[in-house]
Amino acid sequence: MMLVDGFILGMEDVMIRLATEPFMGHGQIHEKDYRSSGEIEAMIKQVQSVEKSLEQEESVIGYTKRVYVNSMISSGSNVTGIQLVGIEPLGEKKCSRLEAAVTAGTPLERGQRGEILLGKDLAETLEVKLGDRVVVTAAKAYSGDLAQQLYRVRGYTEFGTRSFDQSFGFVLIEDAQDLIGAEGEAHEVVLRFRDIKFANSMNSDQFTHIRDLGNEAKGWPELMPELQSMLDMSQYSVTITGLILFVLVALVLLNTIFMSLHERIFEFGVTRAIGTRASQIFLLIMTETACLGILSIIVGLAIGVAALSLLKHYGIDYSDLEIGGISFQDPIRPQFSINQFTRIPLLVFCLTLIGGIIPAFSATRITPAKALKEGK
Amino acid sequence: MICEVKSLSKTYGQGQIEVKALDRLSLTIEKGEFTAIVGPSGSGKSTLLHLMGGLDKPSAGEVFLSGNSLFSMKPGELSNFRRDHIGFIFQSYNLIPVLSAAENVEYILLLQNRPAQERTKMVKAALASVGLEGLENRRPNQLSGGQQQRVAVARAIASHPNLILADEPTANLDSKTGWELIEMMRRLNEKSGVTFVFSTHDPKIIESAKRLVYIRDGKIEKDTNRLNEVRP
Repeated sequence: MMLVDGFILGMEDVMIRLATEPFMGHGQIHEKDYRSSGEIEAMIKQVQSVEKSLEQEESVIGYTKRVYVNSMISSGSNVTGIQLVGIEPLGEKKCSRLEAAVTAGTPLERGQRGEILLGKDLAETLEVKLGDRVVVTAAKAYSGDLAQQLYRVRGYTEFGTRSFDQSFGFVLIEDAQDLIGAEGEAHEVVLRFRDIKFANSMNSDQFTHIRDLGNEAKGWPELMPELQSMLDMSQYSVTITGLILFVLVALVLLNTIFMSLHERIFEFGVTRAIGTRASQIFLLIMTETACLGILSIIVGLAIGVAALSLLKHYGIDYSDLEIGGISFQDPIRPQFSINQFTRIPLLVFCLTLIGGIIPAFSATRITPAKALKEGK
Repeated sequence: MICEVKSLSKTYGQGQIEVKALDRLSLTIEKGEFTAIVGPSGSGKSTLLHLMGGLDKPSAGEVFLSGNSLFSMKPGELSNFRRDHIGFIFQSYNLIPVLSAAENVEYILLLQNRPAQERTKMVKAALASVGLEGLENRRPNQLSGGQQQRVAVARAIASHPNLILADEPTANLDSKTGWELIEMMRRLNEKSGVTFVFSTHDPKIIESAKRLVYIRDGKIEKDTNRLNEVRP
């Protein structure tokens, strides 16, 4: 049970990290209708004021602005749709793994404009190499006029997620702002929190202020409800697995105690014959059951701690697995939790006691004469 | 009168495989008797002793011990009554294997909540009366069959019960050891006036008994005292 719980916790941890760390961040700020409408002109309200609030927010250890442009990209060989993202290189270092995702060429640098990073698959589609030129065409944010910019391919990115590698391109935020005519503005601010748990609530005076400006600030559970549902489901699966294990344990326990009773039926007959009360026999068996439970818990915890420590150290490689668009590039490392040392052992102990009631009760029902005859 | 058995019946099984172990059997035991219940295997001796000791429930009838109706008692009361008024000796000694000789004797005194000092004194006296001084700390598997049965006798007499019921106590012993055990119990009976009732088909016990109750097919066939007086 401890192993299952530890494994699920480890899997949840990996899933959350893999969902948030590569690009999404722990939380995001948008103009309140941006996510539902996807309108290019739905820029964050008073983005400078938002940045000022974030500077003062203790729970935020990093943030970065982004501009998203749905556009067409053309090379000498091909044309395709692209999600162009304007980024701040320094901010991305704190909030995403974009830099680490650059597998060929070099990451974007502040001030070096006119350069683009392409998803590896996208580069293949466009049949471009490092240093080649591509043209991006997009509509301006407020006028709707078409605009074009020329970029030189600086590198390829590989996130291990198909959608990113096939259709994302990254340029400096200033280039993206120029392209759509939205200087100084942003569609998104990505946040990194000191403690990821803050993403569950995001309640503070600064975030209230940001929301009051006409923006929305949401943590990853709201931004990725499907992941949250999956994690909730994994909790259900732990509960169901737990119940199955508990039923198995109860059956084994019942069998063990009944066997032990059967082997000692004669002794019970003797002790009953010489005056031991049924309640004392009941208490005796329940005490034995409790001792058995405590011993099992100690042994179980020792084995669990040893196995979890080993698995945590070496990790479990699931790199070929992709669930909900998240590929498990990092190994799953089972986690310890306080529950494994409190709630689970307590449940096991209670279950042991419950499992002992039937044999203990049945021992009190047997008449001494019958026990003496059966035990002969 | 210490024990009165009134029209006691015990039937095992149901329907066509019904076996009557006891059939409306009545019997009285006086204080200080050394009585043997005699009969062939399956005659109902052990069943009678079990019912006299409240170890089983009868199909019909009643057992009165020191004027108390055993089967009118609640289970807890009956356990306490057995603990305080009846001693048991079984054919196969029935000692608790994980306890030493002294602990086996002490167990019943513990159930009676007697103080430690008193328990120690009573255990010592009981073991001495059966000639087991020096063997107090031995476990049953470190004792011979005769010694184990002596521990069982010590356990039975330790709490000074009104009645001691012995179910074929010499059946697992060789004839010499069996004879020594019977003599020892007889001495206890004569010295302290403890009432003994045995079930047996051992000629040695039959010889030593002051009263012989012959039963067959769950009924009393003959009831003879040491003077060969036949009771009605």
